[in-house]
Amino acid sequence: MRILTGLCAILLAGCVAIPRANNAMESARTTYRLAAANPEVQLRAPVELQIAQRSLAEAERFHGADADPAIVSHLAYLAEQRARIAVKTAELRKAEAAVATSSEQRNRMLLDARVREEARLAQTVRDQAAAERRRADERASQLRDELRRLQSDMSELKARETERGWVLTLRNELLFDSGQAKLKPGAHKALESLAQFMRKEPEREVVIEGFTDATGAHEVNRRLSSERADAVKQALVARGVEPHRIDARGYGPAFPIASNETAVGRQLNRRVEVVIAPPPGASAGR
Amino acid sequence: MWGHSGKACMRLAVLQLAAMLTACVTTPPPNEQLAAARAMVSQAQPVALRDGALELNNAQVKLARAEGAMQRGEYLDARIFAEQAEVDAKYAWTLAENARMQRALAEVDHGLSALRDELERTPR
Repeated sequence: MRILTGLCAILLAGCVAIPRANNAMESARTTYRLAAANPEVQLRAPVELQIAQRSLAEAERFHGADADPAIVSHLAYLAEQRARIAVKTAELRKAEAAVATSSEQRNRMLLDARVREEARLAQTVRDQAAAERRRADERASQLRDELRRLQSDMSELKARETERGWVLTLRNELLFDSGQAKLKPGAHKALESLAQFMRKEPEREVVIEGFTDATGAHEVNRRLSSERADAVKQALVARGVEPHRIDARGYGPAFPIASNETAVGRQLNRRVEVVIAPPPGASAGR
Repeated sequence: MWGHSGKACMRLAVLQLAAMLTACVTTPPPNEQLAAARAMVSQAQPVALRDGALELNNAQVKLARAEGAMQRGEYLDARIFAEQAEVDAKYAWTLAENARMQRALAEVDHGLSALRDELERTPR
């Protein structure tokens, strides 16, 4: 009988392993109360908080019914861990939300920056285009002034603005004897004026084009006009104009500007044209 | 779980309690609780190496004890250790995830302020 009682006591002691049920309950209540009072936990972990609440209520029920302290301690432990889980879950979700907000803000800043940068680039392009236009206008009016001066120097020169640029026309009589490709001494003044103009406009390139009337063999005329254009080029080079700025071509009787049926027309067709290219980049010549 | 709510429940709890006093022998094998504990421990294991390591260790020790008690047929102990192992593992996992997210947040915020500085330096 004694042995039996002893056995029973041992059995009970095995179950009642943790007699600190009151402490465990108090600790669980405190942890849960703090969690439940935290607005972040209420807002971000309501489900976890509810689970902890139910868990604590169950522990309270067993505690109130004077259940085995080991069971009460166990239930209190579960409730306390669940309250902790609720608190940490709220922190986790708050951090997740903050990461999302920051990433969104970052994307917005990057987008804003790109929009600003594009606007700035567009403005730069517009400014550059405007400056380029202004410079082109200045160059054009400067050229017009120079040509006016050139024309007043040489009454024989006719200048007109075409889509190929400015075209200066010199009648052959001024420059060459009939059938010759050698410049007359009398051409000196005109060539000097032309060379002076080209030195003043160092960015300009010119095409010198020689033409004849339709009298005589076509090939002879073409060669003659070519040699004459080249002679003008050499004369300009001799007066200090860089050769690479001058392109000399002979077209013979092609591109007449007047009828070859009349003497006056033929005289007009026998000519040297100096084509002044529009601003650098655009092409000149035929 | 261990009970429900209300008056009827109270009576049930008392009944359960009575059952539990004889529990050492009569508790059914806690198969569900053990499975839940195993699942939660394996979920926490790969993430809770740095943060929540202590809690993970608690969970692992308790799970091992639950498995041992189960083999010996000590079902009440097995159930208690399994249930505790599960919440410990869940807590370890939450701690680890939270720490990871806090680090991510610090990184994103750092990147954000670096970006703000950089954008302020570029001319408008």
